[in-house]
Amino acid sequence: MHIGEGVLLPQIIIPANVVAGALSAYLVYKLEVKDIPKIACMSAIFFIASFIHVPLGPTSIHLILSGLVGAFLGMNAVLAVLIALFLQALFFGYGGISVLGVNLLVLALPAILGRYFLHLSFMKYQKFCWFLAGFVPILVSALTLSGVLVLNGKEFVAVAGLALASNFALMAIEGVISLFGIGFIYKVNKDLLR
Amino acid sequence: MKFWLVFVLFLNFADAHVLKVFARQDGNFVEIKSYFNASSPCKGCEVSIIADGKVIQSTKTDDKGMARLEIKADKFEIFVDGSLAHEKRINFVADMSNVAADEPQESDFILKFISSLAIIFAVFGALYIIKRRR
Repeated sequence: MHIGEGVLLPQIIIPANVVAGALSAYLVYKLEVKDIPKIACMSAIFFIASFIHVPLGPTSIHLILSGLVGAFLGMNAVLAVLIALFLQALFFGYGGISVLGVNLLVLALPAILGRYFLHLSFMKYQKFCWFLAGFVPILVSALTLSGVLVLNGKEFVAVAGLALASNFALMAIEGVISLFGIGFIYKVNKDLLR
Repeated sequence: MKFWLVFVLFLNFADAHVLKVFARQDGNFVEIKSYFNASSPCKGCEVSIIADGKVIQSTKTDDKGMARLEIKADKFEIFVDGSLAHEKRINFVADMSNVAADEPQESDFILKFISSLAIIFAVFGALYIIKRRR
């Protein structure tokens, strides 16, 4: 779900980088010491997940786990995703440095919804909410990505549709991973979810 | 005497149209320079790389008579066709120790992967130290 270098217009890249930069700076400023080890671990998990490719017909998709990261970190998911995306762009060519802001906003902001569904799971529909914690962030990310591509120009409309369609399977996969992941943590150490 | 003067003049003229080709290795690439004389580069001339009797690559020189091609074999011939029967063929032996493999090495991937994870923990470790001091 990474947008590469040289695809987007400066009118999209510059505001996105400004917003992402300001948000990241604010989160670093408000960051609490006790949260930092958890953010580092989730950043590493997010980074590793992108190298796990799931075969899908003639192509393959890679895991993102943004919902799971968001469920554990809330707003701090932005910082975890920022560092991982930066290193992916720098060393492996996933996305790019100039579009880091766009990719961050596309992936990290919807991830925060994972936290919302985790909170909701403590009140009702526990397992369904755990599934949605993984499913919905990917859905919103895919919709945002498609929206960005449509904004970029009419010639990207078909690509936007394809990007959305190709991520439906990933939403389901991430939902199931989230269901089992959060379920496992709930059993072994419920406090980690609080 | 008159004959020799004409002969020397002819030789001088002929030399101006002798195609010269130089090649040097730059990492994974071979840089080729071709010219007739210092002020007359071989512009848009066909350059062929021939290995084992087969043309494996071809390109054209630019306005400065320069061409750059990726090295695909350790030994090959560089053939430059300057048209109107001006052509030059030179042999080139590449230093393969300076040529990186096309495919990224698995060890590079593992190194980058481990480095990335180390950087993640280093960045958040630094943040931890900075925040703790405050």
